[in-house]
Amino acid sequence: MIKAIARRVAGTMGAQLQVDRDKVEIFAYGLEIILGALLQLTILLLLSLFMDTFITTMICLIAFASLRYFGGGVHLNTYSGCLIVGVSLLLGLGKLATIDVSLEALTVISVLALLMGTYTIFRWAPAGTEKKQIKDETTRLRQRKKALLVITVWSIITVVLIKQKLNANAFAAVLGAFGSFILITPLGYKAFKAFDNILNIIWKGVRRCLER
Amino acid sequence: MTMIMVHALASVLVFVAYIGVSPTSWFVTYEPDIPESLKHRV
Repeated sequence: MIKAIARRVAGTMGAQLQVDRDKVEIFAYGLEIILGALLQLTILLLLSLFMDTFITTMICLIAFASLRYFGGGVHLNTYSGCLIVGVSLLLGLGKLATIDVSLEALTVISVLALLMGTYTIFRWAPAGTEKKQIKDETTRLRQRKKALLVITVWSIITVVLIKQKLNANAFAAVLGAFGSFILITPLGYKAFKAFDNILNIIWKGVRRCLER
Repeated sequence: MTMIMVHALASVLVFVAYIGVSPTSWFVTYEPDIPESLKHRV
């Protein structure tokens, strides 16, 4: 649906601006990115407010998105699948962060996340997809450095939050980062591929039922 | 006035599209199909 809307709007814009088909495709692509992100963010905001986990979910989202920005990671093939998984994952992590954890447990989890994150970045980042892969080694190294910088900033913020006794917020930052690291690993790729296959089977079943 | 707004929107969309094909992952989970005209930039 988002793709169709983006194409229609881009087509109208292209006609008004009298540009070629390539340019119209670029407009549609840009619009699809904006509309897709806006819809996902709006649903996430509303559901997190409804679940009373707004702050922890937003902290999860910031940690998740900032690491994903440079580290990359797996993507789903369909927008509906992305919407379901992305929103569920962040809402689930946001809710999980509200669980009361002891200072010791939080410290251990944070250190484990830091170690896992550092290893993941060195080993697999920037993790590409079928649609976009970074092969140039210089660019890959630059992306890795940026991702490591984000991990450093994330670690400092987590320590500050723990020192301020904002355990739920610190836990949310750790969980958001953890979610992002998982999606960079081969395990995350396998899980998303399996989920994509399940969604395809369900979608085919639904289409068959509708055709009858 | 309308044409200025359409031009402004077009500029924003092209900017977003170019970020979309840059090495940084602009997307949280889903990435749309990259147009043929931008594939050489990936």
